[in-house]
Amino acid sequence: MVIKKILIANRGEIAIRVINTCRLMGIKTVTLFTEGEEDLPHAKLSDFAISLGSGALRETYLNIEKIVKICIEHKVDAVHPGYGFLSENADFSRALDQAKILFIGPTPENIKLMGDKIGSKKFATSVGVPCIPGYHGEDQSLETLKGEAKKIGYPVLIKASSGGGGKGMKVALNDAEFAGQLESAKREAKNSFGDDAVLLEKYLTGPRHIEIQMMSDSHGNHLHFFERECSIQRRHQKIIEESPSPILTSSIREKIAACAVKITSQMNYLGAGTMEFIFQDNEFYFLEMNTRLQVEHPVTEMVTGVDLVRLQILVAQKEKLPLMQKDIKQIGHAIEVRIYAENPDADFLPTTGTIKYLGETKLSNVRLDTGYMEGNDVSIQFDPMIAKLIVWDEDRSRAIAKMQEALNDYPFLGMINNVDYLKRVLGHKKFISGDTLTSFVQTYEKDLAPKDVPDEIKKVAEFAAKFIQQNGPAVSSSLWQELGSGKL
Amino acid sequence: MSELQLKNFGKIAGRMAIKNELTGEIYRVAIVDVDGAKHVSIGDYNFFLASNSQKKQKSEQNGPMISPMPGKIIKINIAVGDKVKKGDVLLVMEAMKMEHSIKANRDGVIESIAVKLAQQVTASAELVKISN
Repeated sequence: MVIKKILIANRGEIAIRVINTCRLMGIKTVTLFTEGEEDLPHAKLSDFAISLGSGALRETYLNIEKIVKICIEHKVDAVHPGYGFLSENADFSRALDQAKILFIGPTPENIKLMGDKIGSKKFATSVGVPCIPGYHGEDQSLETLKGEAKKIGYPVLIKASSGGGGKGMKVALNDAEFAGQLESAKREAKNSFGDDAVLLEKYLTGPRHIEIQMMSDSHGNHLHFFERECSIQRRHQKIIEESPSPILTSSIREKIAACAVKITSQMNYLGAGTMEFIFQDNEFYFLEMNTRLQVEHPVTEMVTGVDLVRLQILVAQKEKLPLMQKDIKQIGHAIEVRIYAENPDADFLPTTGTIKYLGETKLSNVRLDTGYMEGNDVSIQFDPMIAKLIVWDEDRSRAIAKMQEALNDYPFLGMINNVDYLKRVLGHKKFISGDTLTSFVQTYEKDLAPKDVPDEIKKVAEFAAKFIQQNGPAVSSSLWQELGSGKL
Repeated sequence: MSELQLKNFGKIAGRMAIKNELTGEIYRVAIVDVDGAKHVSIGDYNFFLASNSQKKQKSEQNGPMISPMPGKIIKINIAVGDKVKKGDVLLVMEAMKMEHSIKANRDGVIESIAVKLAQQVTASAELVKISN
């Protein structure tokens, strides 16, 4: 079948990302929004926008019954789930299947196998892919877990079995703090996923996070699109991603990619996915597979030149992938930063406010994926990520320099955010030299503290503030469009 | 600091252009109002320019501990009269399903607790007073 109308079961930047590809493919789109989201761009850029009403997430973006009903009413052919929300929910994909609507993603069996952190590792091991030492047992008693932690050797990572995104994840450095950290991990796991089962893993001291972009069709073609390195993280969540990794040699790159393809081909995978590995001392261990499009997929799109959403749609309608492994090349260097409404100087806690000046750039090969426009409020109801900024250039050092400039052009004024923090990370000599371990943010905490603003710059700011005060109360950027330069 | 003689020089890309007449240097300034303070972007720098009253508030020490974010109180480890040491976890808050520990900012005795278990608080809400 050929897909003619897609419902996007998501919001924000990823909904807009999917709309853009659908437009290029001549596919109509339906987006969803909740009360209070009427002014966000994802509710305006689609062909049809349908209200999910108000209430908690389980009443809106996680409400399978309501979303399937909308799909039927609006006669959509397929659903793109984006990331998060229902993207890795086998019940959702099954409910759509029963309604004869295509789910743009893997099969329910694929989701179930890889959604189970224990089962997925067992599967990886069974096909000869290395996994990190750990405990994935069903016995969840404190004595057993403590005993297993000792066996693995501290420090030990405690992780929610059905978790993700850093939620329900705690590190225990020693026997004495194990019980407390376990309690906290279980509480977060219960609240976030309704399941407090945890697994234990050896916590590597100097690891990197390397992941491989995968794409499979239903004709037995299982491709990879090389790696992304996503080692720069805070609170166990990625903030900077890049491709290629500054550390991988081509022989190790080939080895990791071959392992990743082994998994997708052996499990008969369908669609886009990401195989996550942890990497240290030239050894790599399978962590998990995300059975969806990732937040950081644009990095791969920039270096390979493919549109991953387009490929997702093609394979969902049972087409063959239009390219072969040998056609896929990793060219130049791409970096993505995640712009968050958060305070890097206060433990990266979420902030709120109104985006009053977003910014714009004239630089080439710069991509801004955002779900917001000027005037939009950022509330704590949803994830605090407000934008992704992606740049491409010929090599890594040029890409870093370009990102610094691009961030200057997109300050996202209106609330405390991490734009300056990202600039300090990109400018750190250890980032520039490619020493990007997952511990980077903690290790260089002091170096990454805010720098003093030079007096000269402050004077300019004070001059600007005074000028505004004398020329009326308006402070939005639109003031400068209203005032002719002659008046200034 | 080099000499400055600043002048408005029109607008570009939604920003004010400000020129230093002595050197010809152009500063492209984006500036918005956030709760009385100015949020400013100039070149490599993004920063808040606090209003005078805000500067005054900041310099007042020994105030109550305030909530660093909007969220829900999910654990209270202390009672009025408890002795605490700097770094002790007093409360646990939750926002966006992430837990965050509120730690004592100094040694002292708990004078008052302004929140209850399961209460939703806004950013900057008073949480706990610690007396010496």
